[in-house]
Amino acid sequence: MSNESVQRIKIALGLLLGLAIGAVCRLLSIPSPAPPVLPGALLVVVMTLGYIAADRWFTTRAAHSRHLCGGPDGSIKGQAKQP
Amino acid sequence: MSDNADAAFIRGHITRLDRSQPEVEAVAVKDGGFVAVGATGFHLGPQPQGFNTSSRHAQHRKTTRCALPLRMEIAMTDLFMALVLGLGIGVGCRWFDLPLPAPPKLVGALLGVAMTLGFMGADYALRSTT
Repeated sequence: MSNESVQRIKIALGLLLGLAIGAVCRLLSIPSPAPPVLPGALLVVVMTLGYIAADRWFTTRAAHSRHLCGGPDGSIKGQAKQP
Repeated sequence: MSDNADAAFIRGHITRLDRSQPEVEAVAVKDGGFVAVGATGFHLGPQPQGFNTSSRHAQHRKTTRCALPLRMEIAMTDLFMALVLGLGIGVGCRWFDLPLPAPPKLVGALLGVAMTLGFMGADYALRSTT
């Protein structure tokens, strides 16, 4: 199995784990680490999309504060992190 | 205030454009216009034709013609403005090289969405069982 396939499977497993975490948080009445309503989650997504779009098309300078950004970045074990 | 009202709708959940009083429980109607709005207990005058908005017919009218479209329109406008603002925050953070208050990669953001969907799904399941 290629490295890319393994990464995709891991990402899919991560998303399933996220679903399970959200469901368990609601079932056990534990505060969720993610927004409890969809518009809140979509806000996070559009912020990320804006950041990615600007990074790809609008800016030419290197991003020195990327490692300070909030939330999980989706990196998996063994995947090189960007500085 | 509504001494000669033709009809009164009470015990409802009515949304108005007036921000000082955005929601009321009752309205009185005369000649096709509203003559009074307010709480269910306001004075309706002598023998108006009363409709309890909790009834099935009134609930249908309220939902399909009045409350739902207006509420959805406001909610969709607010959501659209929030999404545009979020997009602007993301672009601005990258442009000025500031730390983003969100994951810098799409997979990380989708992890949050997955957790939210799991939370909402479990919430829906719990509500439907009770």
